[in-house]
Amino acid sequence: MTTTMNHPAAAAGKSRTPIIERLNIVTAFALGAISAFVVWRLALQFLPADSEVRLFTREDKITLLSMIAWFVGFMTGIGALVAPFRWVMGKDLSHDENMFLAGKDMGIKRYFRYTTDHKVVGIQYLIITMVIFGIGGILAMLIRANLGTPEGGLIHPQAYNSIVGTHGIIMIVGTIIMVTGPIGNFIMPIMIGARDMAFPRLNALSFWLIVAAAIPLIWAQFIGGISTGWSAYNPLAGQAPLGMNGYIMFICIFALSTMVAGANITTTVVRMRAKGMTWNRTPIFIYGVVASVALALPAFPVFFLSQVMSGMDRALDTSFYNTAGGGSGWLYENLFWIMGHPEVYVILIPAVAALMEMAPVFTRRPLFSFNVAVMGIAGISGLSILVWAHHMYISGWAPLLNAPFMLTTELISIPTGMLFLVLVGTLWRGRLWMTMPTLSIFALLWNFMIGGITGIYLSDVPADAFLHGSMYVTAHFHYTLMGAGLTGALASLVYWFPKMTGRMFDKKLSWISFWMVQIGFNVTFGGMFIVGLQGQPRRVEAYAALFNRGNLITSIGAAVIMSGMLVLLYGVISSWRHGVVAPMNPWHAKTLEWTVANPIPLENFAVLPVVTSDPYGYGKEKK
Amino acid sequence: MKRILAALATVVLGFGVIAGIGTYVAAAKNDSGLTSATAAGTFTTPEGKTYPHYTLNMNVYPNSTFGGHHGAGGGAHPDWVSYGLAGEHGEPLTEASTGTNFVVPAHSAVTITIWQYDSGETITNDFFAKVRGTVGNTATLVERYDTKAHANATEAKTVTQIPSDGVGHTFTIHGLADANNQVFVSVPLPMSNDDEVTAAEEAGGFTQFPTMMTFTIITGDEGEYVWNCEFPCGDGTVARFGSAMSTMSYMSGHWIVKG
Repeated sequence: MTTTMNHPAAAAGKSRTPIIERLNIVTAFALGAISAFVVWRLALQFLPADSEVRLFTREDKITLLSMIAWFVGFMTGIGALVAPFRWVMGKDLSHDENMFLAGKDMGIKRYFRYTTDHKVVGIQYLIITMVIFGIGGILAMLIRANLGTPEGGLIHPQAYNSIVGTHGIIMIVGTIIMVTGPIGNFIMPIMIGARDMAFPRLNALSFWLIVAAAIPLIWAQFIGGISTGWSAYNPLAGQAPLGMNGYIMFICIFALSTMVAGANITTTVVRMRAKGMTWNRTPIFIYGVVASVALALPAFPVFFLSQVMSGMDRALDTSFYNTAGGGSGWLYENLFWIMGHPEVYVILIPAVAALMEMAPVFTRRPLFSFNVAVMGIAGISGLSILVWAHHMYISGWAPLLNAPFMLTTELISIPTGMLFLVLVGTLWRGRLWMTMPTLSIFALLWNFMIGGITGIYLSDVPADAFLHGSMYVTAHFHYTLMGAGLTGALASLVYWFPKMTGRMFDKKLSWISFWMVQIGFNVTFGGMFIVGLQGQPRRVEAYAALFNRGNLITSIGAAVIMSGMLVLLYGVISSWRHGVVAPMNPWHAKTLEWTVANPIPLENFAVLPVVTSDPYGYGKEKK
Repeated sequence: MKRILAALATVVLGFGVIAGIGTYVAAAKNDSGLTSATAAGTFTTPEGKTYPHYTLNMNVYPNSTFGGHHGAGGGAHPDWVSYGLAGEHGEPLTEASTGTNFVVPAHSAVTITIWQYDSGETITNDFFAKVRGTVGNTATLVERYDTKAHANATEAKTVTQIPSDGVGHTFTIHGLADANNQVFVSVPLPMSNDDEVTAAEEAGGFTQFPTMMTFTIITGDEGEYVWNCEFPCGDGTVARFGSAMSTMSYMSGHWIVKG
């Protein structure tokens, strides 16, 4: 059933459909494509030729202008500008129009519109995260297929470079949004006892910005690709083919999305927690989400600006990163890693916090030392903004700062250890309820331990001089981002699946998937550690024969991971369609989201809850 | 059981999709295919050693649409400088299969002739103005070759280096770091007459009188090597390493030595 608004025109007997009802994903893509085409033609016609020195500049200008036109057209077509335009005109949206935007009684169509209901946005994020991981996974398999033999050669080297770069950047984006996107949007407002996010329209904006960002990245693949690796270092990026402009636009739009989401989530948690939910009674998952977006808030504007400057160097012949013109490649490296290292914790913290949220539920014990958990999250957050230059030890930039950055990097293992302590302490002598999320807690401890310990060697300047730029680094960061981060995200999916879909996730499939992914993961990146220690460099299309065995192990492991992820995908689809109908609180948990019925009403709570105790009071009734 | 079978089907389907995409990407490689050297009897070095002899002909164009696999019909980047295969007298070969990846036999002599249609300037690093790694560390240079008459317009001369202020491009093969027998070959290609190149470009073609460089390499063990131009000739803000220099198969390619 579709909501029809009481529009003045309709009341007057006219059948004119309000613009807000006409806009959806189809109009967005159509308007985006038309805008890009028109601007491309105009630019081709009217942009003057460049000097002989920079023949490339005109093509860069045309490409960037077309992509910007796509972005503006898409956002207009989806309806993002309707409310701001009305506000500027002095006529804000009516109650009916706001209800329409919230997707009231709209059925499945609401998922294809600029819908503001946080639950719809959460599901939208879930789907796009799965699509991102699907594409990133396929690219990973192509990489492994090419590295199946030392000679490589399956894929053109240029295409291979682009596949590696694209795999890197979209997996980073996927892992950034994998918890705060679906769970942060769907569950978090209910968990704190709110009816919606603080800024529902910004919530929809943050999601649709990601969709808008995806097209320039796809576009890039057809105009030279992203051959620089995910970091897109300058001046390499300045010399790369036109596809680099797709990367630049993708990052700029995604950074906008992250900034908007960060402001929204922070405001929601600070201002809209239920009465009685003091900071001591706020679930640890909320701390994780807030820490994540709080780190992202200063980090992503820097990333945004780094790409604006990169685009200007390409299209306007400025020299931010061009040494010959007075700029510096080190400037880019600094800006990139000022974002890049906090970003690791933007990914990790909410995933670990989600598992800390589940640990009391499945051990039936209070969270071990809530305060230490909060201090751990705060400590990691604080230190993570002071470690970025450990990515640049060997770059030649400020060697005198190597020692301080080594110290801050090694210090971060202390608050990280606190989180381990909390998890182990909660599990210790608990009555374990063995579910896939419970298994994931153990998997996280194992994977994160390996990721953390190998990270200590990389943080050490003398060891890093040998290990940097090798497959060892690749294995290390996969152990942290995938072994810890993705493990937490998959556990979150299974844990909150009943609340998000109203169905239980198939237990057998969740277990099969878990073991396949975890075994495959350790085989894959164990093999990668071997070749890394042997000296195989990263991002190479072919390698020496001595690295063959380790690469073979890695490729076999990758196939097992892919199989496990496909089982999980089937589990999501089949459980969503035919799974056992979930009770209101299948895990007997104590946080607020489990107090609302399935399906969850539009505004979550008929009466806003009042919190009178902490959410981890398991076992207290025995006293 | 039904669910497990369905999950298994999903896995099979998923790998099918990956295999399909992989096949497409591999087919779309468009790496100009492989060109095998042409057999030409035997070759005896000045030291008296005899090898099976093969030949390869190449051109260097200021505009990639003139020849080679990038296509007479255009190609993605018509304004980029590019290597391309050449006929017996330097005429462009425009078939899609021609390009910059060469297969040559191991432990053989390969004589390469390169017609250079582009202009030039002072090379950044005059190390690359010297002939290195060829038989006798020399090459035979014809400063003006008449591509219509199929004859030398100036006398051929043996060179070990060329003036560093008149270099068009270089043909440089690098050995792999772990190869038993290191390979390093570098031959500078002199510029064609600047005015003639410009005039020909304005007329929509290429000069009738390119330079012609001929040299012979003794191939070593089996292996896949990369060759490229070492005179930055692309676009880009920094040191001209962009576009044609950073895109495979324009000013670079593979040198595959097979037993």
